[in-house]
Amino acid sequence: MRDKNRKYMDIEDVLQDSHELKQMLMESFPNKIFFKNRESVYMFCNSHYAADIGIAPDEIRGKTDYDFHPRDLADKYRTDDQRIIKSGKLEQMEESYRIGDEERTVLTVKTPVRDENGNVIGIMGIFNDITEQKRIEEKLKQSEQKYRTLVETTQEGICIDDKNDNITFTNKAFADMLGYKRDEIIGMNFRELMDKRQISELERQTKMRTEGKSSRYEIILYTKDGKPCNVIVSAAPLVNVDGNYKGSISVNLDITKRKKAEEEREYQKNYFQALFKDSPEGIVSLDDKHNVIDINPALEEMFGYHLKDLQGKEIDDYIIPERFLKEGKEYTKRTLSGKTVKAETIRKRKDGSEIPVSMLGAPIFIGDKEIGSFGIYRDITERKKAEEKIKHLNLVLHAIRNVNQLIAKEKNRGRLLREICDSLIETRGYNSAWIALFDENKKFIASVEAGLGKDFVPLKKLFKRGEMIECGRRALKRSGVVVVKDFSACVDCPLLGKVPSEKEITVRLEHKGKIFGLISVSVPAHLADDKEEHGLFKEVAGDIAFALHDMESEEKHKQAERSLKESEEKFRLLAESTASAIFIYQDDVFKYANPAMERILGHSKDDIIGMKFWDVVHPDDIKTVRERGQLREEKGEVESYLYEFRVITKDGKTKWIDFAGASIIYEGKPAGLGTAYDITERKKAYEEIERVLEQERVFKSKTAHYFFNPIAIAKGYIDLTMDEVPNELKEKLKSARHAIMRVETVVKNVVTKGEVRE
Amino acid sequence: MNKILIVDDEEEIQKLIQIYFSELDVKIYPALTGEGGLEKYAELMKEGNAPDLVIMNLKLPGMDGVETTKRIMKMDSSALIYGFTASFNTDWAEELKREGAKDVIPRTVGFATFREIVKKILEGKI
Repeated sequence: MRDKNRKYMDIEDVLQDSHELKQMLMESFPNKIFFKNRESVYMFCNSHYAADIGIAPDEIRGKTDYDFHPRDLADKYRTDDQRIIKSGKLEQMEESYRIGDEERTVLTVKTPVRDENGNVIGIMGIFNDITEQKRIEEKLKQSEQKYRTLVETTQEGICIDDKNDNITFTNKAFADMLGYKRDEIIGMNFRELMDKRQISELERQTKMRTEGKSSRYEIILYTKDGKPCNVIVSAAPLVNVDGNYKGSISVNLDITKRKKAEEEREYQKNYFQALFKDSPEGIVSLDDKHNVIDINPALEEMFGYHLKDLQGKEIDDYIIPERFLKEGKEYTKRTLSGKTVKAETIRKRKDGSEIPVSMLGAPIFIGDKEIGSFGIYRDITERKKAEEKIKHLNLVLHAIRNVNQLIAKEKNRGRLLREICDSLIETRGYNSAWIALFDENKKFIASVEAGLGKDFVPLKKLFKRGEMIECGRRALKRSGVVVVKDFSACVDCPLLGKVPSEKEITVRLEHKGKIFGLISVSVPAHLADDKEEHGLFKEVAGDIAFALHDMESEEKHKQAERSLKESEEKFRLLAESTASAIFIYQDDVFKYANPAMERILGHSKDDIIGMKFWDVVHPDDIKTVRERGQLREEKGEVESYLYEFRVITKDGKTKWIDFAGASIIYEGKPAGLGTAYDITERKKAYEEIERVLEQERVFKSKTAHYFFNPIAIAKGYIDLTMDEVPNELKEKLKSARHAIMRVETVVKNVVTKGEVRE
Repeated sequence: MNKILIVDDEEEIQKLIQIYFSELDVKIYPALTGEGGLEKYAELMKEGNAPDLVIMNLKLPGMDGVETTKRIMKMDSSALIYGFTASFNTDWAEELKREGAKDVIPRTVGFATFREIVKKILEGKI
């Protein structure tokens, strides 16, 4: 065995030679040292190791790890040993190591031990107990972790630059603050993050770092997307081990928001100062005793006081009217007890005049402590006026509604106008009202009033005398509302001075161009010129005029109805008593017949009504009557056509009537109105006369024929003979001719004059 | 020579006219009835020899003087017709004028006067 292994120097030999040296050397190290042969059998160890395993150093020879350690640990040691021997390479490893019951950590270096030929003949183990070191390392690690956590979680951006201001480290906060990723920003120069104008400041700061000085300064850095970022930098120099400057570490606090907040505070401060100064509302700031600290110009203007008048004084003593003192003090008490007070009330100016205001009193707290209060006053004079106006207009509208209701129900003119006047003042829309009616010649008809009483009597008398007051004259001339502003023109008006705080507005009552009279009301002076007021007033006047027009129309209608009734009565009397037959037919059917018609036809009136018109017309005359009727209808005129035709009576006899027809509207439909006289007897008389006349004519004709022809022949022959006979005979012929001429003359007189004479 | 158609049923009258008008340069065409007068006028007219004057009695047997006048006027609207009748002052005489007769000469004027009237008519003086 020894021979076989000769090629290796025996470790014992190797070590034996220098045992003294070896032992001294091993003992001089603080480390624990052992030697094992190739079979992991201990050869020797130093006292530090022997102490750990509880033996003397020379007791270890021949022992193995199984003699000192639990099997699992001994197995590990054996495996490690064999691996190192085999590989011939040094290994360092941390291992658990048990000393007694205490488990410690050791850093073991196991290295192969070689002979002079380089053959591995064993293994040397040197190990250090690093339990404490590990504990420190762990603590350091924990500390570093804390530091890292602190660096990474802090809101401030932490940045480390080298001596050339190149960024070598940042925490996430710094990168985030400027919108970069960490690997983007690392390597950038700090100058790249700032405005060129600030580089000199950076250089100044860097110089301070090189001099070993820390400082805190404010700078503007720019984010990756170019936005400015206000930063407070707390920077300190970094030096290397030899004390040379190697860079700086800085803690960068983004104060952009704070900056903005500061600006905002500044803005708000300015804003509130401007608001205070320029506010149209009066503002007073008060201390905790309710004494004035400051007032704004609007409050000065509103109340007429200057700051010097009120400063340090109890404001209530100056602006609260006597009768509102109790109320005002109550408000103050509430404000001083930390409550906000809102109210509309009356306050007084320096000159004593009163002013309606809406006020707000509110406490000012710092923390829980009320340090004072402020008051805001708004002059609500105009609003109050507007409210008063709206209230007034509503009253007027109410009055208009009442007027319209009255118009709808009251048909008596006098009562209507009286009630209208009463209504106009009852609703408090107007304080007094009067209405005067005039005819077309401006002659006074009647008047009514409300709210004036005896004061109106002189005006009524004035109207009765045919006189007119100025506003009335102007209102009658034009359609607008007349407001008398200059009372110098009203000297003749009996109402002058009766309504001192009021103004009279007057308008004519007019409908469809007809003027019925005047209406005048008294209104509060400030509403006298209001357009809406005028509009409503005209509406009232228009409604009244319409009602008067309506009544007049109604009266005319009634008069027409009376006239119609009278006319109808007259017609009825006439129709019932006249000898002329009167009848109405519609759609060929009789609708009315008078007694004379009864007499002509022999039918009773009841029988006639409902009979067909054509049933009573003689069949031979139907055509004629139809033609006449159509002609009348076609002409469309309400005019009569007079003609004669025959009718058939109840007993079948024929009667002639002289008929006059007219087209009328009866019961809303076209109808025929006929009047007729029974001319049967007259017709008979005419026929007799005709007959006699015809006889006379025939007689005359025959007479002429039978006398004139022979006479002419006789005269002709006599005249012919006259020249042929002697004078004696001629005389006789003349006598004969004369006699014939006498006969001729008589016949001529008979024929032409109906007279039998020569 | 003027042509005169005398329509008269009185033969004596026809004779006397012939006698009295013999002094005038006229040709007399007598007709005793209306129908005869109408026929004669048509005949002469057909010959292109229409009468220059027609003397018309009113009372005629059959067609009277008014109807005869109406028909002649229908035949020849330029016919010159005068009445010569005992019924001179009657509606009948007026009717004759309405149908076309220029005038009616009373029978009572006497034949000499009648002749003078006719003469003037023919001369265009009436």
